[in-house]
Amino acid sequence: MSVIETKDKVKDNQTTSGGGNKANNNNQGYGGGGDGDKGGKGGGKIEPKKVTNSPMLFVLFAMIPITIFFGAIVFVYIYREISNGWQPIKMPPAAVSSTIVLIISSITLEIARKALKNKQLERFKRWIMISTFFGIAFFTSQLVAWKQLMAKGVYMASTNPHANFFYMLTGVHAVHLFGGLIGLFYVLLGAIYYRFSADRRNAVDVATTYWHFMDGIWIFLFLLLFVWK
Amino acid sequence: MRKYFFSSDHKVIGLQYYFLALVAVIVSITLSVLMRLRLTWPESNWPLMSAIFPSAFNASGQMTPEFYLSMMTMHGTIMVFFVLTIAPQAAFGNYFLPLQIGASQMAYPRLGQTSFGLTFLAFFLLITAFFVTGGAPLSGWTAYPPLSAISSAGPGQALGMDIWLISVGIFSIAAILNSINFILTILTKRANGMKLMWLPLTCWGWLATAMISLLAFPVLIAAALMLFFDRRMGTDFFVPGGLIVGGRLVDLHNGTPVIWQHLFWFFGHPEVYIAILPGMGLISHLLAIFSRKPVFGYRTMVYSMLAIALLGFLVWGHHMFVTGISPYSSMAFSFLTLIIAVPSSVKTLNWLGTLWGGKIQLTTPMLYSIGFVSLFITGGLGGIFLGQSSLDIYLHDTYFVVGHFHLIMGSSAIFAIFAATAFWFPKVVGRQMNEDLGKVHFFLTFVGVYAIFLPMHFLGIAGNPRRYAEISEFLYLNQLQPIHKFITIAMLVTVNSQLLFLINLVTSVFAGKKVKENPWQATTLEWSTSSPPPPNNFEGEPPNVCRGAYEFSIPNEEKDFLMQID
Repeated sequence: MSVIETKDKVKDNQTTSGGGNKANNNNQGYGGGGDGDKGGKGGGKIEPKKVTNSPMLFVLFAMIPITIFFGAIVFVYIYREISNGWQPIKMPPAAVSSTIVLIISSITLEIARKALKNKQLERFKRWIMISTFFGIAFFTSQLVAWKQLMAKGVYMASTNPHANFFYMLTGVHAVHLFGGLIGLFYVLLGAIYYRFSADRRNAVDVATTYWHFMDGIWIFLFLLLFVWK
Repeated sequence: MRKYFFSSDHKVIGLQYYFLALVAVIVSITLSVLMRLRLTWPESNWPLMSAIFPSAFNASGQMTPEFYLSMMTMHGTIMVFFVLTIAPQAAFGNYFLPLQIGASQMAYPRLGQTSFGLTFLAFFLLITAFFVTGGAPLSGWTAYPPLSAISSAGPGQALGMDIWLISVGIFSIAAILNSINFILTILTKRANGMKLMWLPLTCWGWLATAMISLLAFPVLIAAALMLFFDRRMGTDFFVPGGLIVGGRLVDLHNGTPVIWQHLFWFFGHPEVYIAILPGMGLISHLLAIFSRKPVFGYRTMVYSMLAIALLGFLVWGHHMFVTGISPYSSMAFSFLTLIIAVPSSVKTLNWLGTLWGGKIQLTTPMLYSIGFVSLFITGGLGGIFLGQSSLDIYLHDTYFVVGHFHLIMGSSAIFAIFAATAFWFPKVVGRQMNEDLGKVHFFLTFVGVYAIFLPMHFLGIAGNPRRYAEISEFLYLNQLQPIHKFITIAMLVTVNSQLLFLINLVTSVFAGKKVKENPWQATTLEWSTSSPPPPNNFEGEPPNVCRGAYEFSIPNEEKDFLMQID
């Protein structure tokens, strides 16, 4: 609790002397900030209404093209499924563990976020570590799934569209999720060094939202690849 | 260095985009000149060119048809992506969007910088395709598989095609980032009191375009990625079975090439509107200013722009009438395509309604705007023919299509760029462009563009296929050669008259007539600040908007216009 407030004050003292606008932007939409927030509002100047420079908006808007990107590939998947040459591949056991691990990481991340909201910093630090661990575990598990399939002789380079799609979809999903992992690492480093400025707290929300989103995409892909016929 | 090359100031980014587009258009026009020369005088020798590209010329010094195709591919790719996509939207949008909505900067300044960096990288990569082994790709800007998926299909289809795909992918990412920046800037950074329905129509054009880019480019990335995987990772998405390339059977495959066309045109048709919608917004804006009248039907203008944006996503099938899709879906696509004529006609009617009874001032930007309307109508009439599947089956892949899209997408958008340049030049530099030179340039270009592209419609009706490096082999096409000669000569004159524009652009920076901050007596916010604008756009208090963008010729007022801040 006390840590949050001191960090805030340091930040706000810096920003009042510089551009007063920025501090406002970063605190927008975050209720639990310290009372230092008001320092930044630059003496009754007319502010442009609704200044929301939050990275959150960016990530929310970035979800639209990402969804369409996956949607385009899924469209081809469904189109190809009815054409010839389609041989359903057997689900590698690691795909199930990937799914479970990713869902767990989303849950732990949510616990961490709640902890930060209630200003339980140690609890936040612990759970964010657990979440990052499960995040890495997902990537490992996906690699194991690839290995398991390759051991059965199912490769990306093949004339079986289902195998093509499995490797491609898991691959592009992993690339997108990697962005989320970088976000988690950023948050984790902040937690380790007890940096809880408004920016950092905002980053927790942003990383969590993006992670949930990619989690949702994976569940959809998992159902599409192995359950939906 | 820092100020001009690595700045996150939206004005610098806008200018960077403009100059990138200028370089791209010069490269691309040069390619088209070479193509026309090859097409018109196939036997001629090219000593200088064959010194630079020895592999592109045969033993007797004539240009190979493969090189013609690679020039055609690069001409299309550069024009569509690096001129028509970035100049109206990213160049003018980055510079003037914050100024017009009264913001001090874009919502994400560094995102703008990143997207320019990526765009520049993509352009650089694309140009390198000319100099790698095998040269640039041959498969057109549409890159249809299976030929684009197989490295042995042509000299440029190996490394050149890979570079093309990577470049297009990077470009698409930049375009998406840029459009997120635009949308959020308009939604969150508007000045005090600026309602959405008070925005200048230019901003609506940029907003509609950004929304389309956000939805269309991801599909292109997905398609390009799958094609790249087909080429390098051994997947089997697009290459069909039993395919024979260069007399040899390609290894076992069972992909579906038509899927590429679905994905590509789902992006490709909206791309047409990405090129033209900013121009539509701008022309609506200029016609009102230079007729000294409010825009006729502001709300219908906004709604028709949004309707065009939406309908653009439902008509991709009209590019595929001859690919063997079901005649029933052809009919549906035909119907939807012709529906686009409704919002387009609404816009044209409103443009004419804006001109009707106005105090028309024939300045250079106004002339370009009227030229835009003329080209848009002529090109649009060609679209009515092509939109019907029964006629398209005959006209597809002929010069009719070439003439049509060069008029409506190419020339119209370029005229909008000319208009925007002449109109906003005083704001950027503080001096005006030379009006006399501008008018001469307008008339030469306007007549020239019609002289080039109207005869192409007749070539198409006569059955002249596009993408052929020469037609002298075909008896029934031989008699069309005089028309080709006419087109090429018209083209050389028109291209050379663009030098007038370049000279005007450069000399006006130093020797143009000095003007005050609002030379056109316009109403929008960018004209209320100094020229060029200060780093944070508006000195002192941020602007306070209290009226719509088009308050001209109001009864019982001294001035014939009211600024948005008055």
